[in-house]
Amino acid sequence: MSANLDGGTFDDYTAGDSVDGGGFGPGPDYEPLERMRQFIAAYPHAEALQPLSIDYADRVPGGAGLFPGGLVEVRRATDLLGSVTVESQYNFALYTVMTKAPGEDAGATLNAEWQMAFQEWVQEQSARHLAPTFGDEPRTERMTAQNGTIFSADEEGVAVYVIQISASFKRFY
Amino acid sequence: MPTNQTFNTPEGQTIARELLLLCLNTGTSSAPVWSAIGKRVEDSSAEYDWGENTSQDILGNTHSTMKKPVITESFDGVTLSQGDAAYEKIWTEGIKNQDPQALSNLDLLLVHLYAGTANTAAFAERYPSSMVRPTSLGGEGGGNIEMPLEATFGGQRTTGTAAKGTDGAITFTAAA
Repeated sequence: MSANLDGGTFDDYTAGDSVDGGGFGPGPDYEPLERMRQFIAAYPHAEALQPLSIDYADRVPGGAGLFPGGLVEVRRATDLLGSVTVESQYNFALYTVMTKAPGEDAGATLNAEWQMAFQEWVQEQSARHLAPTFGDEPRTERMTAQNGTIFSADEEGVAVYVIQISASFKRFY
Repeated sequence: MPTNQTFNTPEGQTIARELLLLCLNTGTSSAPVWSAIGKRVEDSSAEYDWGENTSQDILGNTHSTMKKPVITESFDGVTLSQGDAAYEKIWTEGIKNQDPQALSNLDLLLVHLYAGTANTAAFAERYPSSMVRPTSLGGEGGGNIEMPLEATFGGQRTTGTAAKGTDGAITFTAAA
């Protein structure tokens, strides 16, 4: 802290953080996929997601898989001092396998409602700053789960659903 | 040996923006501490108003006059962050103390790291009675606190050289 300032400055905040009152961070054990897996497992109706595999989903009801879609760099900017801010986005696809008899409406409705509820839950967690964060300014990060839809259904009563999950974050270099 | 009027960057290459630094003295006049302005600001230029006047006499000849420039620079996108000494000083004098005398008597150093001897004796100009004022304070919900700035360089201009240490610290030496 600068000695020439007579109190009333920004002592309550961590050096380099924007002044906001927030306080999340990637932490020492930065494992994006494991943190995503734990986050999804915390969904109150996550019994449909056990076990949650990475890049694999067993095609039996109850199977689920999280498929990382890679990193997309959205924007890169350099400030007057030469520091670089990179805005990026992680993309995931969450596949869930559920029972859905051909032509049967009740099960299809339950499945679709599960998909819709999960997307709303992710939205709420992100809005409440409870979703995992990946960057240097966690307070401004955003996670969305959207476009949940049926991916395939077969005559044996198995349907696969997919939800697209995106996490936007900033890194400072 | 380059002089203070020559560029020290490789011939033919364009010069990086971060080699032009505007610093605010966050120390004292006799023991200055030069703190760079511009963190998270992506675009800012010093504007030179030469007070030019052009007229044409009755013979059809054109005459132009100029004055020494009044230099102003705007900084949009300034976001406050703890540990940035320059922003904290301006915030303290402008927002907390609302002290117009202090704000109009700030010490600025414009460092041209691309001219002169790189990092050890770069051309620099000191404006010891400059005005720096926050023009607003706020921002959108969910965003960051922003404090755009307007600077007007003032006081008796002193030229000299600046050195940039390995830790980034700037020291200024006035020309003899």
